[in-house]
Amino acid sequence: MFRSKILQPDPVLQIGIEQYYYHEAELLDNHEYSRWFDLFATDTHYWMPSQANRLFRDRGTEASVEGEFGLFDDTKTTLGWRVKQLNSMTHWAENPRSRTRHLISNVRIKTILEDDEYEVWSNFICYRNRLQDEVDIWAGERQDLLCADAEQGWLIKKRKIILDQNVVLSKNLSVFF
Amino acid sequence: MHKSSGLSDASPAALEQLVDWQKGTVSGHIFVDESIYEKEAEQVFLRSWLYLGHESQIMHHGDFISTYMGADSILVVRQRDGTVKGLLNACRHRGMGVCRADSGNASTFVCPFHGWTYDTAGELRSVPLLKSGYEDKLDKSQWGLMPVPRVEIYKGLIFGCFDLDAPSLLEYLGDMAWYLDCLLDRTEGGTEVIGGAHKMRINGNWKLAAEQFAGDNYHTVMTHASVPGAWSDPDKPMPEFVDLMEQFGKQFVSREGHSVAGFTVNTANQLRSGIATFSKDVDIVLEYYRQSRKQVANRLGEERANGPATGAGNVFPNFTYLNMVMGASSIGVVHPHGPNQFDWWRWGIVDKSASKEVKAAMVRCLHTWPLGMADADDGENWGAIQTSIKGPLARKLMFNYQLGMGQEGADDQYPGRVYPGMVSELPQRYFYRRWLEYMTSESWPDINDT
Ligand code: FES
Ligand SMILES: [Fe+2]
Repeated sequence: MFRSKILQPDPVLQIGIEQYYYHEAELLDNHEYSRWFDLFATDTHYWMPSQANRLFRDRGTEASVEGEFGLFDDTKTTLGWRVKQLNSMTHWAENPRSRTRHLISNVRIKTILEDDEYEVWSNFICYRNRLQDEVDIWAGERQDLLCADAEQGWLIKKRKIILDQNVVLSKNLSVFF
Repeated sequence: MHKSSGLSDASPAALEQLVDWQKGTVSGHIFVDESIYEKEAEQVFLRSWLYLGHESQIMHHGDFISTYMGADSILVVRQRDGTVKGLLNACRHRGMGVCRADSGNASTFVCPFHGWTYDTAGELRSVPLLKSGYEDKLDKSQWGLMPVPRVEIYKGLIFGCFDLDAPSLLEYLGDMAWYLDCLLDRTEGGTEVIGGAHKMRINGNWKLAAEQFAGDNYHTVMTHASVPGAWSDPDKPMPEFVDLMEQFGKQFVSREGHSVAGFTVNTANQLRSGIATFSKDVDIVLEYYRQSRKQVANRLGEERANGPATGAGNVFPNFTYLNMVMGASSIGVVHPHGPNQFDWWRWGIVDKSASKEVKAAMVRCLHTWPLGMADADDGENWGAIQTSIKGPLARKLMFNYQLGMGQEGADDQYPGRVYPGMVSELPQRYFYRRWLEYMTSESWPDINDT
């Protein structure tokens, strides 16, 4: 029944991608940003639109579109700048470092494109605990375009992050998703 | 033994102990005290001209955006005749918000609670049970949404004011308008706002953000120390921030409390030096600035084509902007939510007549600086200050606002009071000078000196 809408699940592929995401989350939570950075393709686009409240009849237009204002809009180069910043000791927003825990779930392989590209959507919760008692919880969805690379395994060619907040309820977004 | 804070009230006498703009001292109290915040809500935010939105966001009849004036929720609506109205977003029946979307187009605002329905001008149009329940006696003309009594527009920027004694917007802006033109009136057609917005919640006092845009060039080197290193490309070394700050520039302050935190006085030089050629996008934008320079000179005169363009600014109390900084411009507003929290809204702003390619490059530049690399550390500061000054001792400290005391004066080229360098706390001193006048006066605070 459900198979009509959903790709025939391939357990090996599914588990492989899930493991890849767990590995990615581990790198982020361990602050291994340079290794995390290597997971992205050179032509990657890392994009988090902002989310507006819309009248019901305008539903579907909540997120800003590419080319507009987003919360992240990075190429591999600018993502690299952010990584360098996080690795410096003068990025005060992360010095001392935050404690984070990225939980990735609901991994859905949506489509398999030619050239070994896979559209994979997943949900996340990221918990941040900072300094003595600061807590942020971000939830959302990641819409990835993954590309199977013979040498490096998976590479992230595109990531669109839907953050389920209108006003971003944290003083910054000095973490990755 | 320590004396108690002595702040049993926010009376003028008490407030004058807390802010001494001539000595350059400001007490921590003004950032944390509940009674001071309540007074601000009444005497600053119900009196001053507050930013409501940009005309390009509401082009057609019925287009609306939601915002705040102080802590009050406001709808800004384009009228049939092309004018703009501000309406208090609170139903006259029980106060329910009649519109909960951030923007859109509406012919009516229908209250979801009991169905009172208002038109785009805020007039009450229909009321359920009007005949049977109110015997048709409810005078609908008396129960419209409360309008913002004064709405005026300066070159695309819509401002509203609740105080009938306040001067016109143009008079209120004073010399600041001359500087704002460098952002708003560079090319034919003015500016437009890019879709999408940054809205961040910060657990800090709204004045920390406002005073930073007003005048804090001083923080750039330290707070944003992690940025130049991150950008550095061995082939294209970034000039140190310190060098940028030492480029000859000035600061402007107005008696109304507005200011430009620092502008380079020779933009042409700056364009030549190619400050930030570390990015292709910055190159595209710098090229656009070079090409549009002539048009700017024709519209605004040579002076303003050579500067004073770049830098941060603040229109008292809470409209902030960055103009031509690292390849982009943005405008923002700081909405207070009590003494310990504010929301910071920010949009990208571009010359309407710029090409698609240039606009796209500007948006990408914005995502690098300030959004990508700088904002995180500013947010950290504002939250951290609020945490560290909440203690009974720390809040009693007088903080030092004395950087560059006593060097301001008139300038033969630039209007207003001008500081002869780019880094001082003159703008903050004038911000709090004006703030104190609002806070200690019974009605609209006239400026009697020159
Ligand atoms: S509160 Fe709006 S109709 Fe009752
Ligand atoms: Fe800053």
